Amino acid sequence: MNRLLHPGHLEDWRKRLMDETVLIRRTIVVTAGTCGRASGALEIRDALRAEIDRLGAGDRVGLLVTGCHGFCEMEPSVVVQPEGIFYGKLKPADAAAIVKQTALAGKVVEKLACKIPTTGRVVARLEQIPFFKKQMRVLLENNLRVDPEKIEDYIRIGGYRALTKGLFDMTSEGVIEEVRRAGLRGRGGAGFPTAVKWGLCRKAAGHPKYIICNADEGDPGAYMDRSLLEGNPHAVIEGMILGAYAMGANEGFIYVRGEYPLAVENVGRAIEQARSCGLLGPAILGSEFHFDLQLIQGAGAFVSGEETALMASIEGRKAFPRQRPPYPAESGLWGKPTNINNVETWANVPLILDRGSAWYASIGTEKSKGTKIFSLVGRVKNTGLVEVPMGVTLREIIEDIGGGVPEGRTLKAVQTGGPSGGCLPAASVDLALDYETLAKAGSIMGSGGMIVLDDRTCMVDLARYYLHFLEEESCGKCAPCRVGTRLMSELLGRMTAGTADEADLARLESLAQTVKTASLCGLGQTAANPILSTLTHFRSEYEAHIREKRCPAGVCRELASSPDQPARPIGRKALKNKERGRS
Amino acid sequence: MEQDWKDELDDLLKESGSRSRDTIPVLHKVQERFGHVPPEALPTIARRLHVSESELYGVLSFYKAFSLRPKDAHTISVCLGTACHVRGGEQIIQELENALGISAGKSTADGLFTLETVNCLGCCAIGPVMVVDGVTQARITPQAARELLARIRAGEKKS
Amino acid sequence: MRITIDGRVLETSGAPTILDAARRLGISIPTLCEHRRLVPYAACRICLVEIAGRKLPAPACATPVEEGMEVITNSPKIQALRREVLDLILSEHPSACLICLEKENCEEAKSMIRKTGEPTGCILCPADGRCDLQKVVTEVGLKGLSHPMTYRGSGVRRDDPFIDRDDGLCILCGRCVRVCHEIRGADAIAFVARGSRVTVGTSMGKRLLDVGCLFCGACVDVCPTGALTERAVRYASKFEEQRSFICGLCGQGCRLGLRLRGGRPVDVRPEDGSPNDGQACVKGRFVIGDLLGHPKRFVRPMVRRAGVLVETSWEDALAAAGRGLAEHKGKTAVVCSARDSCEDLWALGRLSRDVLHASSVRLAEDSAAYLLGCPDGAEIYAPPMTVDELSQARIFFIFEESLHLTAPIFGVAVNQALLKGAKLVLVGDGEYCLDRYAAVRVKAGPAEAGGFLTSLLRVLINKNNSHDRGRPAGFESLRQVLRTLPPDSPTASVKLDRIVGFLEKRRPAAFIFGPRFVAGPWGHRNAALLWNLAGHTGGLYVPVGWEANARGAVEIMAEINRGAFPRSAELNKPRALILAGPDAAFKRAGEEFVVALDAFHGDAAAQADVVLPRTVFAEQEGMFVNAEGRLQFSSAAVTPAGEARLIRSIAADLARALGAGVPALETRDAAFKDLIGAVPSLAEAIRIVRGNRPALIAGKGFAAKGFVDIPDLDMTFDPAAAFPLRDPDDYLNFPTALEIKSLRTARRR
Repeated sequence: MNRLLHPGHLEDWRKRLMDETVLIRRTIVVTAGTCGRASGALEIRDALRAEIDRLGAGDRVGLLVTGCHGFCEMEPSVVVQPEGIFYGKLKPADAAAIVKQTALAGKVVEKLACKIPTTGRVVARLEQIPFFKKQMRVLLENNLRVDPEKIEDYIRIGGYRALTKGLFDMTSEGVIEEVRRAGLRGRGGAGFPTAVKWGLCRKAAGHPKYIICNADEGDPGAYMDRSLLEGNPHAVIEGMILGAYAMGANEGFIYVRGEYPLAVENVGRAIEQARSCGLLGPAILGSEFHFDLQLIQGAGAFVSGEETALMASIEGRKAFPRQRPPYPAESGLWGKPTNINNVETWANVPLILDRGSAWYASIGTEKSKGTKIFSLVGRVKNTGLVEVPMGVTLREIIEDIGGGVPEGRTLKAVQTGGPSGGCLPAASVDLALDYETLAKAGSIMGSGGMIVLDDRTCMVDLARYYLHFLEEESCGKCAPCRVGTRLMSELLGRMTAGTADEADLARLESLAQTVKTASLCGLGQTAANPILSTLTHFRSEYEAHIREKRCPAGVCRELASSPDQPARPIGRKALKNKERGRS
Repeated sequence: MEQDWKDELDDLLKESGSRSRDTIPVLHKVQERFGHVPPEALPTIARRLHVSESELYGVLSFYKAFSLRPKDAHTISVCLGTACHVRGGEQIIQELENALGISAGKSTADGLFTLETVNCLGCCAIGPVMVVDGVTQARITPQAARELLARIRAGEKKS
Repeated sequence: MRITIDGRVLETSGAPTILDAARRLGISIPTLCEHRRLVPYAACRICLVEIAGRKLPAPACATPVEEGMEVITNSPKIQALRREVLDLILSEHPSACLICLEKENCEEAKSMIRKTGEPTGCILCPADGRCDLQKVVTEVGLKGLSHPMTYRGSGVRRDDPFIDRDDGLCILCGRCVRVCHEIRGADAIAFVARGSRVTVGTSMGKRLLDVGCLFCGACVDVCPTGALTERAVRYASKFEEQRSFICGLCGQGCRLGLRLRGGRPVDVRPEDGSPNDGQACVKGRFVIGDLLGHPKRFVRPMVRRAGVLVETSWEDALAAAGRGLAEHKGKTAVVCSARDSCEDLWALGRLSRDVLHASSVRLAEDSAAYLLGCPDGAEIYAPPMTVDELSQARIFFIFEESLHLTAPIFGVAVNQALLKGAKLVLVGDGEYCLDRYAAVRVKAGPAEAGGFLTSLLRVLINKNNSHDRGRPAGFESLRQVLRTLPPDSPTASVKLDRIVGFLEKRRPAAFIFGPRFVAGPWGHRNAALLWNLAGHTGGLYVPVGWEANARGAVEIMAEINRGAFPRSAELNKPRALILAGPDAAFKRAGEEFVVALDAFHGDAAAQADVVLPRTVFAEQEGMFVNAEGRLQFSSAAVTPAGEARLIRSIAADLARALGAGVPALETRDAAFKDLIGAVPSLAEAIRIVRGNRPALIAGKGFAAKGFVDIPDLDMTFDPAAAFPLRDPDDYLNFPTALEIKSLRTARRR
């Protein structure tokens, strides 16, 4: 691999790479992120490869295996470029038609293409498909353009150009200023202005300084970060090098959730590649700046997404959070100034530097700039990752992009922000999605999980699900969270099992307040949110469970779903409760 | 036999970091090599990492990814992430628990299956999801889960 | 800085926590996980307070005050919150009695029913009456519990010596885990598992014995509940009084408190303040009670009649001793012990010098001189040094010692420094508690270490970075001598450069060694090398030893022997012997008459003609000078066993029995005055102590100036043998075969 000793070397390399591909007429893009692979994308790839070889079309038809395009519902799928012809839910047998008709002849294979459900009209091109039409894919679009195993692909599409600009044309203060002008805010949840955080770390006394990419995406139901790391790891690395330059850090860590083996593999490889090219390590691109990155694989603890817990984990300890202040910018890893941002935040940085803060600031609302990726899942027709400008409404996402709730059901609520977030009732679908509006409505942006719930979802059961999750994931350090999550989980278990009374509801509410106010870290402080927000909007469901021993949604198996229907026999949950009582 | 195992551990540790900050990567490596972290290996690993044995055990027992018990022939992890939950992940685990006669986190008496749950695999759009021996299976139904068990059992009988 | 707490203003400097500030104002905030010696942990959430302008309440223990901060510690809201949090904590702690309405009457009504297995309420709990949780419940004013009780215990564990563990009473405040790590560095216990299943435990649930516990008892001392208890005390009644004394079991001079009930020892707790500041070790913490009442104690004098030792009265025994000794005036040898107080040693010395005209007076311990790192021939005397100074060192060279065992308080100081990033170079051929902290491990016993030290000294001297001292006497000649030695191998140079690199970046250094390192044929050389190294780097020269009053003994013996340093010389065939020190190897050879002043039955006393029962520390008052050089007064915490007498009294008795009473020994005050009149270094120290300042004995003029000559400088060191072990930072440079072998050896054990 090239060792780049000068910014010019990078540009030369980029030119050579672009020249190499001029002969390729069309490229079949096989999206093979974890979702794709689980659905059989690699078999599709092999079938396509065999077909291309059989026809001897290797010089005209390219085959590109990429990460995820976001429309995971349709996996396994391919996109034939440059036309952007999309085929979903494929079988290996479809390969022949795709190569012969589309890749070689440019024709759409109608039986494989998407159709508008209502009219039956065929929509083959990405920009026509409703799921993609309303999105603004500045981050995700590159997932379709690069093979994450090849740094060449990233460089070909302009990768590390922002790094050259930052290192050679800008001061480190200049980089921070550019990020400030772009209005970038942390994508991990609270939306703290990134440039302010960087400035604090830059100014903090102490040496060395560290930066961290928080890729411990633990919110169940959210996978934006996985997709970015799997599909385009170099964007995150480039963002981190720029951040390190801005803050004066020479060592960085990417802490990737252990349950994401493909992301771990791709990020690890990308770091190696960047290092052997001279994009990481001493004298990056021949500048005086040196920086290196280490990949840490998480080991299965939701709480390690909390920044102080994450640092403890990097230090090789249990992921116990600690009281703040001091904040990481002042005293983080090994007591040194440390900056932590999440994957999506870092991935935005090269875009800002490359296309300029003015461009970036033109996207989104007054206070929330840029795009945000949401993972749109649950009871919605088109599930997947959607990237939209800040400020679009929930309705646009669920109905226009997501195609609405399937099977003629009605929308009940949308859960955003994972276990720390809350539920927005169907009535709030016209809310604009930005940090302030969501917070005002009693939920949070979080990292971008968006779970659509229809009338078959029991809100009490959902709260029980989250509290059970949080009980298992509480680290056990502080008393309110350790004991409180267990007690709340037990109370909700009794409610869904029909053994709770009115006093239990009062106790649940009071516990929720105590845990929220007294807990040490974010996990505990937000642990009661699933309860508090469902109580606000769906109190009647709780009352039905308690007073009438009835589950209106028909989810809780121990309870009747309607007044005249008898309760079903005891199921798994009751068994589990029994077991717990024993042990 | 036992000596081989210990030599293998020594070789593995030789190539790994030796500071306390290397604890989690080293445990990952050991787990990857042996399928679990053998309890007998703890004193050796602790020495290598310059941490006390209890501290190492504390870290190991904190993280879900590490196991002191050897896994059985087939490991099934059912995702109980929110999206999978909403789409019926609970029914899958219930089906498997009934079919195998064990609760999640346990192994079958014949040593054939270990049943686990996982909080989210990030495959929310194609749920409910489960991972069988490292392979992610999409859009599982209780029916499909039962069939899969039957297939594995049939395969075991043949071999 | 100016802050307001509950409307009261405090001007403060530095950055204290809200809790510190509140305490300064006399405002009480309840706490559970907080402990003044430990890093704030903020886990129990009992000390939450409101801060104006902040959304959430903050833990007072972990929140530093800020300019203009307004804190409210007692609003109804915060009081309710504390009650709710405590309610949660108590739902996992057997607490029936805490909130029982009959609590007040129970004290009279309850019978002694503590000997149940697992406590379910306070009256069944070993910590009843000493429990912090009880106090906090009262302070917070919790009246009832609202959650179902969950019992987290798995039965009381009693398979370890001294310590019982009961998970069922543990509130997970983490004090024990933290003290084990932050203060003692043993890390024997840790938090295990997580969430609602978290417990304090050991690796794989092993016994404490098997996971490196040193049984210092610090965890028991900080436990706020009955989760960790001393077994011997578990079901004892509460103590009535606590009396302070200086531990005599090693050279650290720990200040301990003997807790008594009805005049009998219940248990021992370390006391605050220098030198040990609340810490102790297994000996001081757990065995002193047994020692005082040991079945082997001599409780009456004994004389040999018809070849057999029989008990008798003091008059009889003293008369017998007087008769025997009178026959051998001038041909009597006296053996004293560096474990005894200054007054005792002085009295024995006066008796020997002025009454018996003894042929020799010496210390029993072979290592006595080496305690100060001054073996035969070396003009070296370890200057005094405090534990605080030691904890300020940034690099340690430790030779042949497991400090946690031999010098536990120095061990605590070293651990503090290591946690703050100090480096450790560990030299020795055994396995040591501190092994896993070593940045560089040098495998070399006392015989081989000379080569390593010589090479290190040469590298340093060639760099000529003498620490702020110019070039002291002997520098050039030493440099010349070192030049004549063969050069180091390249491997050795790499390692030495690394150590020198540490030394350049980290000052001061501390060179810590035990008696074994400076004993034997290589002792003088090792001491001289270390002395020169310490001098050259401006480091601390720190001998550690086992004797409680080594430094005091050296001062007094020097005075008794008229300035000559006390050395273990041949006894010159004495005809009679007074054995007042523990000499396990004593074999009677030609002595016609032997008087033993002893506390315990043993081989030495068994050979005596007269045995006079003496008191042990904690039964007697006296001055002791510890390993730091700190002069301390110990008082008698408990009455002597049987008829045992102080050595000082016995010496006076013997003088009288010999018909030559020494007036200066007759009363306590007279003896004291006599002593300080004769030993000026003690007199000076006492003057300082009386001014309520800590006094370090300055030493009596053995202090060397500049470099000392190093004998036998003919060894070169073999790096392959010296550095076989792991070396964290540049591990890859070294063959690992030996390391793996050593790990295997360890595993077999």
